[in-house]
Amino acid sequence: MNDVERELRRAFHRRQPSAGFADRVGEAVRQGRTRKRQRQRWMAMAAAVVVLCSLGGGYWQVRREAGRTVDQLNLAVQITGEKLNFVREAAARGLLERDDAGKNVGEGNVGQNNVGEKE
Amino acid sequence: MFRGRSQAEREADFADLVHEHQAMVYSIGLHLLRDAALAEELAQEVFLKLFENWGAFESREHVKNWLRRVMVRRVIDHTRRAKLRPCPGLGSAPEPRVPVYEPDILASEHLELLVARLPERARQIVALRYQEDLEPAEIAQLLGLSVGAVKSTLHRSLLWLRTRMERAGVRNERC
Repeated sequence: MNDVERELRRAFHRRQPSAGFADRVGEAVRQGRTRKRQRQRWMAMAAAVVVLCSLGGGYWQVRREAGRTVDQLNLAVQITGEKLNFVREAAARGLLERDDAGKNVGEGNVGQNNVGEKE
Repeated sequence: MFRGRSQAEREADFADLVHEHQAMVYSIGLHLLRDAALAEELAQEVFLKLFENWGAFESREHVKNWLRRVMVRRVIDHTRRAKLRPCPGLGSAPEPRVPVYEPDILASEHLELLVARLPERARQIVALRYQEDLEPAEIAQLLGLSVGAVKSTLHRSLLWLRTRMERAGVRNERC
């Protein structure tokens, strides 16, 4: 080993950190553990909130869909009812008109015959 | 090695390891960064990381090598980040931390001043060679270089240091 190497070994000898370094590391470990525990607790709470929100949102969505379906069903029933009414009225009107026409035809024939008989 | 031990035993083992290796870890940071406060900060981070990975170690030797490797990596990462970081103006500079001024330990003697002038990679190699007494192959593995590159850098660095010392007359004074 030459002189430069000897000097380098002296210059690069290991030095101790400032006093209390190990205590500070220990404290940081304890704080880190506490922080980790707190973080886990917060994460659990956040997860619970997310689950509850999802369930609530899902329930609200289902209810909204159900309400919409009921509205659509009511509308369909209403439209069907109106159509049925219309058809029933049309059918009734048609029947009446047929009856009237039938009556008129019958009465006309009788009259003509009567006229002939008289002559 | 540390598996299946109680919390208190693990903490005691950890405290022992911190006492045993704090000088090595801190000195790597100090010699490579030349900033005592920063070296302590990085050393603390490395020990915290050690505690997080506590169950993964098989022997004390494993712990020692891991600490050395992780500290060197941290220092290199820090240096890279510092290079990329834009220089802020004095107006935006934060208040200095206590202690306000850390004396430059390496600059106390002429050789140490010369070492401080070495390029960063060369200083890393020299520090690992003469602080940790590592062989060129081990240094190459740590720094991700070829053994040849480590050897040549080491050789050139020693030559440069010797020349400068001789020129300054330090060698004659010492001998």
